[in-house]
Amino acid sequence: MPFNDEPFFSELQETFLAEAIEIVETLEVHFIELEKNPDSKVVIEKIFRLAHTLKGSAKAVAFDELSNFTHIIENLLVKLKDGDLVADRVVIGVLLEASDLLNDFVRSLQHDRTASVVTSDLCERLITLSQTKSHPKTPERLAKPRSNQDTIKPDKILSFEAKSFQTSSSDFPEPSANLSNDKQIDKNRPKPESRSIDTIDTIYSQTDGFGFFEEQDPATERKFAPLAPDPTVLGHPNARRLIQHPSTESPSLPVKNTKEAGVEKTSQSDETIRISLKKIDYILDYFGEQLILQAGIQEALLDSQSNQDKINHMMRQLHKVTYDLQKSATSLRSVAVKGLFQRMNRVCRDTAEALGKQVQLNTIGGDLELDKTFVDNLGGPLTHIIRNAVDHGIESIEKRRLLRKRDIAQINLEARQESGFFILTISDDGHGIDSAKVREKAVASGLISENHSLSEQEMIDLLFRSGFSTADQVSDVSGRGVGMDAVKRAVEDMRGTISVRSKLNHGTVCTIKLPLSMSIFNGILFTLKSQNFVLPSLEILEVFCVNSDEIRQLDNERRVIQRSEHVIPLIDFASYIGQKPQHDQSDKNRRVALMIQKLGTKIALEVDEVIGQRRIVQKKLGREAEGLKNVAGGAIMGDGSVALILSTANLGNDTFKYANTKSKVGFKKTT
Amino acid sequence: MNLPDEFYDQSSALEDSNNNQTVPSSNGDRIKRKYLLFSLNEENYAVPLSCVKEVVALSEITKMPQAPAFFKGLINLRGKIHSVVDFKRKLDQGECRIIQKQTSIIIIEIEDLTIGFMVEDVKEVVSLSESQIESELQISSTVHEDYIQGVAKLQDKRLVILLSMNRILNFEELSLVRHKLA
Repeated sequence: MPFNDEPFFSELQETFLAEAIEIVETLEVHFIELEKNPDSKVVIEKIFRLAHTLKGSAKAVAFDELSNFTHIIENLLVKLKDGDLVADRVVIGVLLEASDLLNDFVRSLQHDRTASVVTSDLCERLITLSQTKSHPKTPERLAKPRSNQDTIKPDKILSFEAKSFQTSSSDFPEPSANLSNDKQIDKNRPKPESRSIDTIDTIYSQTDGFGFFEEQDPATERKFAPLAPDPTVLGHPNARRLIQHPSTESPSLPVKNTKEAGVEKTSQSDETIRISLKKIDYILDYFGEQLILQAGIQEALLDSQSNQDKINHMMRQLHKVTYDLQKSATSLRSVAVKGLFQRMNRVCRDTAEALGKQVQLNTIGGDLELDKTFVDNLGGPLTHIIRNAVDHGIESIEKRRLLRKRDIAQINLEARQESGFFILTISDDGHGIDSAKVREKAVASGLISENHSLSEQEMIDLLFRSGFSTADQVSDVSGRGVGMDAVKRAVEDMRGTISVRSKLNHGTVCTIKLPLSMSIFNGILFTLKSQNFVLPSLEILEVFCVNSDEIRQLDNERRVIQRSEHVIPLIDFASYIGQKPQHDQSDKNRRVALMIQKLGTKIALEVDEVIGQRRIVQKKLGREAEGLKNVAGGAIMGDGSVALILSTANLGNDTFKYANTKSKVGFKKTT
Repeated sequence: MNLPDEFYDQSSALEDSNNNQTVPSSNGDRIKRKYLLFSLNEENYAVPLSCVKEVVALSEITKMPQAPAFFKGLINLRGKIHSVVDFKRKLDQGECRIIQKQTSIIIIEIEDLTIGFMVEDVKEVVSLSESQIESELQISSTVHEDYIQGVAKLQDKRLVILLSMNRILNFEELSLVRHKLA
């Protein structure tokens, strides 16, 4: 590489890739927007500009293949822009596929700078589309890739470029036949005066076959200019990469199909976050205030006797400022959920398309911000819920008409903040969950036994059990039975809860409740063997006193208590987590228990003493202490001591041995 | 802790010059390394000062359920939680005695592991040249030989067991999860 400053260049590439992800995601959003308003010049213009930026920047940082691929997309976009082509479903479909591929491409480049993705098939379709002069009347014909004699195949373009490296530079002014074909398209465009600079630029890069000399990019020119007159360019690594294309395929890069690409977009390498300057300014302001107050208190302390009131006042101020500072600092990690919602729009569209249903996704509250980790982790669960809604929830159009519902089904995705929680609801106007059917399935798959009586809600909660699927047929879209339990686990990993309410023929509402921050939450502080422990308040249904005469001993280990018509397993929490059981307590006839719910079963945890609710700041433990199944982390108490934050994640499975007792609600133990 | 003030200066100064772990002696050609001396059962042990982040007084330790005996628990060190290991237990020398104003925690940092080691008394920082360290010498110590890097004789004839923190801070051995499964 002719770059003197390798680390700098690598940094440039990194910056580009981070930006490229954003561009590709924005492109996708605009494609969907375009589908809704196919004639919107504004949207087309936006798309065009984005694609052009991507192409130019990719070239500048020597991602030639990416640039070439974008160039082919751009050709199609030119058609749209000039009105030679209408953005119908087929066109949008191909464009969305293209944006998926771009996304894959960019992400693989993040892992391996020399990565490449097979683009030929899609290129061919893109080119076929861009060569269609009029609005296609039979879209099906074009949806499939077909080879046409006068179609420029992508490998031809690429091989031409590769060849150009070999031939002397004097060949440049005379483009091959393939390229003149490309020029032909340009001639078909409207009058020159209507062309923007961008368009002219495109022609320019088309004719030179390289697209190296982007005018906006002096850096590129500097880098590549010395190469042009040199006929031995073949030695250039880029040249080699071009020649290999498209036959070589990096083994680490399975080309995902459209359906999968929408789901798993969580990236490991994406560790940067964009922060608005305003947020940083806020923090600096608060910080400045804090310093001033600190100085003020220090001064007032010189004569603490007479300044008592002043000190108290300033301390109150300081508390306020610290709280604000904490809030601002937490918000640094936050991003708007808009992006996530836009992805869901895509998921909804694709699923509906695949099933031949008409569904509209309405999003509300996209501007609300949430911890970036949460936003990233919500992608999977939300995708699943929306697919489920479209697949199982929404009826066929005939059935909807029969029920006198609107033809276009509605799914609402709403975010809101409520009393310290972030709440996401996904509601649809489909046929709801048939609890009888759920029950039938649960019995058939052995989750519950025939004679279990369950309330409506308890039956719906069965959906969250592992290995459950109500779909009669396992479809491509959903119904593999690994769904809702995985969703539930993902939400619980974020210290959140998920619930489903449903009314037959009216629809289903799925509610995800998350704490505003992963690391700060309300917790119940209690003691076991005179040591402090914490459980998130979110998990605790109630705190109640247990009289020893209410406890029934089933055998040596198992005890239950009666509580409002339910028999609930009572667990000695101290011995469960490994604190030795306390024999000295046995004569105490009043104990305290925390009620939690796991997989629809209530469990009471017996503790020594409940101290109260505290605002807990969760701290990570060292790597050596991580991974213990009952410990989620540590929290620092007001007196500076450390309290362990416990996890009840495993409690559910461990306590199913209590089932089949006299308990009204009981499940077979799952392994 | 009966440590002179300059002890802290030295440890922090060393932190600043991480790559400069070797300090040339006044003689010039002989290379000396600094070690932190501490005692368990009145016996002297030392760890390379380069892996010592700081020494803190014993504070309240939160016990960890189901942890092995050498794992004392967790402490809060300026808002960060660190695991504390009983050094004496780890070396199979019984349990660390709690002696007022003497029992301390040495915070050791190697790669991404930062762990506190509880010792009965932290003595001083000594500079040892290679010639003072005898790695072959067999002394009557009950400490697992894998943990011993060598034995040094100080100028005042005291014998010091130099510990290999890399071996002791072996992640596999320290990990609580592994102990739980075992």
